[in-house]
Amino acid sequence: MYKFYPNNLGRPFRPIRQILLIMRITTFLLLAAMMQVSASTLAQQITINRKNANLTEVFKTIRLQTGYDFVYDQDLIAKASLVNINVNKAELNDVLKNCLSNQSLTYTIQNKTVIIQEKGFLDKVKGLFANITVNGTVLDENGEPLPGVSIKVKGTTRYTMSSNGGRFYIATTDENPVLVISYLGYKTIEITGIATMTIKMVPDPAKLDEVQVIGYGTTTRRLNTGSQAGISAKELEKQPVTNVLQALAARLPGVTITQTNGLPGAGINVQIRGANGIGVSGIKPNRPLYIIDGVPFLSESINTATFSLNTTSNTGLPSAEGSTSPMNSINPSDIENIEVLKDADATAIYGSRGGNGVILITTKRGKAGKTKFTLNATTGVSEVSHFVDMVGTEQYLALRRKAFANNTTNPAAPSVTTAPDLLVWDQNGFTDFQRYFLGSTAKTNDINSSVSGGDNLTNFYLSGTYHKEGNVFPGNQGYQRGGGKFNLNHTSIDQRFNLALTAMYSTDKNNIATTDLASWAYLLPPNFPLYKADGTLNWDGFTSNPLGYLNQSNDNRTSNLLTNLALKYNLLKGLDIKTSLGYSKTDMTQIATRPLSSLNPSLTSGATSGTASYVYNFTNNYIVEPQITYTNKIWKGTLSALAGGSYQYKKSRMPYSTAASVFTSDDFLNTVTAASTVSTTSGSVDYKYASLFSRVNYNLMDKYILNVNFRRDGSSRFGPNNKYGNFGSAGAAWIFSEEKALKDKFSWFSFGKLRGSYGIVGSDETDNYAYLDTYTNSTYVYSGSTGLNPSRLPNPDYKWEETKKLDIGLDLAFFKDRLSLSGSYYRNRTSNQLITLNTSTQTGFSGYVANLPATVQNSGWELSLSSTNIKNKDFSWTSSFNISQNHNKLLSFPEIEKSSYFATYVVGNPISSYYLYQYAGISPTTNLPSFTDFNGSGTISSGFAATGRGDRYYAGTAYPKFFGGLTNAVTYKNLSLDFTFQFVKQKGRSLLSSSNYPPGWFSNAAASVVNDYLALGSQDYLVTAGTRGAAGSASYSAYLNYTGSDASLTDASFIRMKNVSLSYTLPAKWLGKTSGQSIRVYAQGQNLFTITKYEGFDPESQGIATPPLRTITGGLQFTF
Amino acid sequence: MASFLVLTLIISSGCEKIVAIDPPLGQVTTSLVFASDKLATAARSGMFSSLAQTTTQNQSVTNFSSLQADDLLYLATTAALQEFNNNTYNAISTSQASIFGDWYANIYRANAIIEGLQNTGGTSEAIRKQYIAEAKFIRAYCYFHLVNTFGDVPLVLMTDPAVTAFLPRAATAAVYTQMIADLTDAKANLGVAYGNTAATDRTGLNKSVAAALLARVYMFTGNYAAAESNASEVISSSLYSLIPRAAMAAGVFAKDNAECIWEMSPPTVATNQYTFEAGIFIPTAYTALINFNYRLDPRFTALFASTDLRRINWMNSTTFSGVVYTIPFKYKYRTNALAVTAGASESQIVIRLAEMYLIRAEARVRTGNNLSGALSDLNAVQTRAAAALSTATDAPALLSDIALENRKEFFCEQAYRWYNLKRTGEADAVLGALKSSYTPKSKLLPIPQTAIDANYNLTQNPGY
Repeated sequence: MYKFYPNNLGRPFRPIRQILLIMRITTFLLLAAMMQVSASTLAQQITINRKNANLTEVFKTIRLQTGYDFVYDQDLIAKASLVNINVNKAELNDVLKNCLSNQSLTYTIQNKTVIIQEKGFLDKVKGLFANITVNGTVLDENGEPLPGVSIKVKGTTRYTMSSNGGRFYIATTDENPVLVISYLGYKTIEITGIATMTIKMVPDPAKLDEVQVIGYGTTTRRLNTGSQAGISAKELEKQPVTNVLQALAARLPGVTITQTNGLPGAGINVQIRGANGIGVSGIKPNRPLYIIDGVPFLSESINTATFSLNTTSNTGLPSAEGSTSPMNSINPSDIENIEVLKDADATAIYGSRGGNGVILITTKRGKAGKTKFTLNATTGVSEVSHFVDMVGTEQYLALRRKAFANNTTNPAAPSVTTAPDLLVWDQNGFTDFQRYFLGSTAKTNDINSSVSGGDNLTNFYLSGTYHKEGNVFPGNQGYQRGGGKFNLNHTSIDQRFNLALTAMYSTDKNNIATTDLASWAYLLPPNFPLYKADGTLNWDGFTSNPLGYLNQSNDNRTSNLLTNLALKYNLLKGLDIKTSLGYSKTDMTQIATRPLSSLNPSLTSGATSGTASYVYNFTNNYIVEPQITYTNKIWKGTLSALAGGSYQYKKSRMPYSTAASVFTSDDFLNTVTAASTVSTTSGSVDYKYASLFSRVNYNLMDKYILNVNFRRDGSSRFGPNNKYGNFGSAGAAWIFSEEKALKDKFSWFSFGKLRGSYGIVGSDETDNYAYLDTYTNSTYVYSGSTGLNPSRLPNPDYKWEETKKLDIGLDLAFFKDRLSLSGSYYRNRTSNQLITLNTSTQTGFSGYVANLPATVQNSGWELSLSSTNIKNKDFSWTSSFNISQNHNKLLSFPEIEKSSYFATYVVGNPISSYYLYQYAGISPTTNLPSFTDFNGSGTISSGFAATGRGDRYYAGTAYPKFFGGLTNAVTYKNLSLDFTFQFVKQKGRSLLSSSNYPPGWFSNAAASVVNDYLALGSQDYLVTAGTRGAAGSASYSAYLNYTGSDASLTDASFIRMKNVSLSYTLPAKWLGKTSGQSIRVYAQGQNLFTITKYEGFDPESQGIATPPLRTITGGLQFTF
Repeated sequence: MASFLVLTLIISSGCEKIVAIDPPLGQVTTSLVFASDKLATAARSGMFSSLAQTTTQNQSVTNFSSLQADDLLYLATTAALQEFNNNTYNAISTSQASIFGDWYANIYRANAIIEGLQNTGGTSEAIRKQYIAEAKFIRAYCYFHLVNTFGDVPLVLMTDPAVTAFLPRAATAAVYTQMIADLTDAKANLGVAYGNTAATDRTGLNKSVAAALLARVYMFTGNYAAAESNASEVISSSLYSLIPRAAMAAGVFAKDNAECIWEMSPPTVATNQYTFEAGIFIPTAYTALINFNYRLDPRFTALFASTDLRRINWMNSTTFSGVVYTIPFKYKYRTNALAVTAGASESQIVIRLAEMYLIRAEARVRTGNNLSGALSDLNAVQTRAAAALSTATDAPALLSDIALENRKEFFCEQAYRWYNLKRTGEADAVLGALKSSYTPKSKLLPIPQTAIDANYNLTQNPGY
């Protein structure tokens, strides 16, 4: 028998459809007549229970119980299949239907005689309309109605969703329809539908079968062959963060998130499985590739988009924290999901840009169902959680006096200019500069609202946001962000055409001081008067008065438009074509004014006004990605194939970067036309990128899975000789829990998967244009002619940095997935290090972009564990834990001794290492700190002990030894509590390394630094106010060496209460009858406390910087 | 679908164009630059203005060298300058790296112009000839400073880093041979007039500039006859004359003055009329000693008679607590605003006629052919300064007087004193007696450690 599926995917073409339509009308009329006949045959009670019975036997039984005769063709019955029947006091019609449902037979009843015939065409059509309807209710694990659950009739496209009361209604043509009931976070259930049913959903803690986003596609955690970790909206919304990257900290194994300081919009360093690349002075951003809804997003700072990547000092106008993370402009509450792709299997589809890992961000989309509004308002406060104890006025001045007394070889009595702290300022004056400059409470307000709705074919999501955040500095500085997002999805009635449109727009404004006041708060003498007697700013002895920075204005505004249109068409069964079209525009306008009153008068003598800078930058990004996907059963498995192309054009422009000075007065600083001296530069960077990529995945019985990726990339970043590169990976997974020996054999063991992958992925994180042999416009004029200068040493030969990634993983789940465990071991080797190769300046330049023959290895393991500890009607407790360890080392570097890197790296050590002097106690001859003279040269010099060139030895690495997090979620009825601890085991540099002047100097420092140093020996030698004379100079340089010694190395490990979220959903009965409404009140905290031995501002940001803030917020969420 | 197929075809065929981009705004490909007179002229402008803008040319060559010698004292605390003051620079000091790099960056620009004009057609013959000659001159000028600062240095004559990055040091003599070849070539191909838009503009080059530098180079290599003949060529040129006494105060260092043989183009923009040298020597205000970063060594100023016009016009003194502090005052405007207000215009003078008189005087003594001519050359410089005239008649006395005059005339000007102390072999004796921290090794700066790190073929100077 064959069936007609009214909404079948493989829909016949139009002429045939019309014929069918006509027939349906006819059939309907006929059926109406036949129903009459059937009605008279009711009321026969039959009880029968047979398994694998042949029809003749069944008919005999019926005949005995009812007295009805049967007429049939013997040959016809012989061909019929065996039946299972179990009915009690059933009616004849039902029993007959049951028996013949899967046979090509039909029956008629005439005068207590049942006539069995072969089905005619009419009967087959009739079968189509013998609908049964299922009325049901879906309940959650607590017996509460569960709205929004998807109910589908298996093998058809019939589909509905449960209403707010959990109720649903679905019609089906099948007499024994199999319903597939699925809901995110719950196990998918397949159940035979009956007229009225109640379905209880079972939560799926391991989420093994949840859809998981991967590069150019989706899979499930069960079937994924790669290594990736993700975080969903549910976890994101518990964290009051401005930049969504902050929310990833401590949650994802293998991912290190470091916040550089606590100012709003601060830079965030993201590193996935360690640092692959050697960079300028050992620091390469090693930035992952960010993809938002399929569109590559900027990873470099907006204000430096047109600048060189390979220089540490960009000439761009700094914004809040020096550079602006573009991710700041993305509203965290618009994000549905973030997936971090790590191994070759997951990243090779991104070819030359996947080397440092890929972060896939999926934003929220429309959902079918009742139109749903949410409004979420949060307010909160942030503050610096830890200050450092400083040397107080009394001790500071005593040290100063001592310093001048010590300065015996070159008597220098303190003078008004060299020691105003002793001779001019109030001897009892004291300001706690840290609390003065960083002690304010920053207020945060956040409002997000969204509306979503529509049906299965067309649905939408619309959201708006406003975020305002203050700063801990005095005054009214802050960060504001507003934006909106729209998503529209449409599917044609025949389900073959699919459209998804997403548009996001946000704009933000940041006017935070560009200088972190923390450093000034730290070094100003405690009796420094901020103001002079006449009320103007005091500049005695210091080039900066922090209040000067506060009097300067920094107006940084960015806007960000991100759009994407995805079109999909089903060409043939299993064969889809898709195109993704993306456009984004990011821009930034910066105006910085430096009024005269904010500048040190001794540096601006004669000036009539301050200075101002105006910069505008924008980046337009276009991307087209046509794709073909094909899925089909081949042999015993499923083959999925993807082939696609990608073409990207990114255009960054800096139309102007203008520095202006000599204004009529400070009143005109905002108008460039009022400046007499103006200099303008501009910049541009174009980037084109074209690729072909493909993936073939073969899944054999959900047991053995093979996944192969290939990508060929071409990039404008590379010279004519190496513009194209090939990348690829092979991955495999063996779901051994599906093997007969294990499947359903042990009640405690539910899932086991062994996976592995190997591949070559690249990185093009280098300068644009480095191959170009060009001359650049010079601002200098000679003899009336503007000049041109050679731009660089061109190198047409450099190519992609290459990372060979090996990954082996084991995923296990126990107790019906209530406990799941995932472990990975990886080893990434990055060669062809793409770098600005230092040359002797005899070449005319200090270097050129080239590949270094060095190989950097990152290897390590990651472990994550999640468990549902307790789960019952009212109470649940889940925990998740992750820990990662990464070993970074410079694996090999042939002929390093012949390169400049011999002075920067040691083969076998991590790239970022602490090379320090070894403190050897106070020398009895000089009475000053002494250090081990490793190379026996008689002096202490800064070269490496390991290479015999100096006395700095390898004292440890800046990379953490291990790190991770522990999250617990406890729910009791409507109350839920989540809290996350972050832990990092690492070594760090204490404040000593950032305290550049010895005790007695015209500069303050932390009490711990000063007192620890003084405790080493005699103040007669250790305290100095200057470098004049042999004694002062020796004391000063001994201190400097001490700050660069292993005495500054300290345990910077910490355990931080990263996040706490407490929320309470008001009981539905309080809100009246309408179900589906909910009100949630919540309180959240970020960085609440830190347990550490580190004696500085903060063990994460280290050094002297505003530490990450402690934030406490409260909010209300309405959903209706 | 169609776009997919097109893309597939394009990418699989490896077509370069799909990811080809234009150079960024403000950049022109080298092949285009040397295909037209206009852009080649711009490249030449870049070479000249960049030289004038490098810190090494517009500051260090004067202030570092004067501190290394016995003209100048440093009063402030910047460690790098203290090192020069005390001759205590070492292998990891940072200043020599910028000096080394600056000269070689200028050499690169010269080499690039020579190569560009030789390899690309499109420029007129006259332009090509002139610009190659100018580039060779600039190259020789930079090497002159390099060998006098570092001793043996790599002799880089092309741009390709594959060749140049690992060149070892060439013997000083070989570098001088190259300089002489370049300057001889330049002299042959340069015009009599300066090749600039404005005829009066002496920031460009002509035959006389090449001859003047040749005279100096021959002086340093001991070819006194050639030094004399080249100096004579310049002196006999109608373009130059010593600025008379009356105009001396503002005249010798004014832009485009008659004594000037070669000057640097003014800093930053064409309208600037001051020099960086004035900016570093002249205090912001004379009211407090703290504003003084430098002073002339009182033992040096004591050598001048109070009537010497150089003492009167080229120095400025202030007294603090009974001590006279004297600063170099050859250039008088520390900011452009001050120069504009005064209606004056100054350029950094690199070679001037007085040097030619003193070179010829010394060369005439050393060759022994014309002692009276030597005296009259010496007297010409002394006369202009209203100094006591030398009456020496024997060679040693003449040499001694010429050396003293050289020192007086060219104090804190380029690196005259420092290079001459080393050329005449007097450095160790003179400076050893003056400075406790002076050691013979400090005649040469150490080769920058960063350069040695990047080029394993480079060796360090002895003693570092």
